Amino acid sequence: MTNQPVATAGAEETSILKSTVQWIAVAFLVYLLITAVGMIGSGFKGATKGDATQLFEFATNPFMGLVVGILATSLIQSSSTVTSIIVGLVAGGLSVEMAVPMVMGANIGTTITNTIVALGHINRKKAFRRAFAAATVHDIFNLIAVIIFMTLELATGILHKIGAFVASFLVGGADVSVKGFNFIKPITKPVIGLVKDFSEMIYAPWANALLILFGVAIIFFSIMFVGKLLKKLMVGRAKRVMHGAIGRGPVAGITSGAIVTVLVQSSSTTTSLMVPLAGAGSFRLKQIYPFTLGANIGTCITSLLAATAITGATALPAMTIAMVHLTFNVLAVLVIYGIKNLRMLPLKGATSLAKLATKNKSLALLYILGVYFALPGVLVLVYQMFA
Amino acid sequence: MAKDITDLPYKKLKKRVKKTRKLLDALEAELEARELERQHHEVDDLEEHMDAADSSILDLTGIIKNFLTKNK
Repeated sequence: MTNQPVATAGAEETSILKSTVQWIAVAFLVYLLITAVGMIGSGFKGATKGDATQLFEFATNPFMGLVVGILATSLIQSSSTVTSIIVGLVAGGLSVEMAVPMVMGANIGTTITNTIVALGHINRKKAFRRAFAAATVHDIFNLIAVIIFMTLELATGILHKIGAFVASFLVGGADVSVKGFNFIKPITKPVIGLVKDFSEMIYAPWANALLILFGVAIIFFSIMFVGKLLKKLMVGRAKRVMHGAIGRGPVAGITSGAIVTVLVQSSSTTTSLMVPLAGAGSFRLKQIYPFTLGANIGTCITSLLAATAITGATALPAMTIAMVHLTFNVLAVLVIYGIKNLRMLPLKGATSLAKLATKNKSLALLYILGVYFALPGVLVLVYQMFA
Repeated sequence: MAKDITDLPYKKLKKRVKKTRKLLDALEAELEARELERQHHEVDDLEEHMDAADSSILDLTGIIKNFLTKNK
């Protein structure tokens, strides 16, 4: 009888210890992420000797940049990873103008995950129709956002002007990372140096390329494991946020989508978890739609975090591209969701697409293969033919 | 039913409309409450939904294979 409180206290202690260890692991993984972004920047700078334009000449066509973003994110299935790598590339000398379409492509590519989840319902007609609509509403929204904002960006450069303006407040001079407080470089430099030396030891002529490869691999794994850990650590908080948003309208939906995505560091997780709920009929498409838009905003936290890794002269462009990512997603929600006629387009498009896909299931497969792989592939070929 | 309505005096008809509207409001409120309750219940199982949402690009090849085999 008296042993029960002792056992409970023991279990509580173990639980506290476990979560402390998990939080330490999260902190370490975030440190690795920041360091890896620095590695990519340093390796890219070394590989291109300051002339990154030559290496990324194919992406001078913004359309190609978009295709690169879509394909890379569709294959890796993580927009956070791709945008963090883009931040590293900008730090290494890739121009912000070239990087903007890549970031937009990442937004489209990331929607593949919830569409795959929807395909899991393919054998249950009603559930599939609802699940497929819930997944594709995000796809169509992101496609419309890219059409509107890429045109605007190409015509006026509005996104990178806003991004540069906001970034200038966060990034100070050439020698500081975050205004007035340079704490990143001293903690990342030794590890970057170590990996650089190791790369030189493996094969000196390819040391910079190896450094970039290590950076990409570390970003991939750190984001993957941080996501897994945060899912466990933050699920309680995410539940509270979602409970709070239920029945409170679209603004609460957008806010909760953003917060849950920040908590679990993955927009794919946030948008995908809603698909089975839509399939089961627990949440309606109109309720899921704002939640997925919030996920677009919440996912920008990773690229912002990655940008804090960059110090020196390239800190400003790195922060600028991270800010472009955030500005693009916030403006897309304000413009598309704010204007009623535009707001209805993804809903109507997703509903019609889901009806068609339910009638002819091969259309669903064709859609996913077409939008994420065939279309970008064809565009690459067309570009190569005319380049 | 239609005859009933046409035979009803104006006041009674108005009263019945009021009563029906009240009933409809109550039914709608109940429906919404049940929907919200269901949603809260689903959120309570968030861990399971997060696990179910884990998918990879490899799942896509499996789904395509499965689909092609079934439709041969």
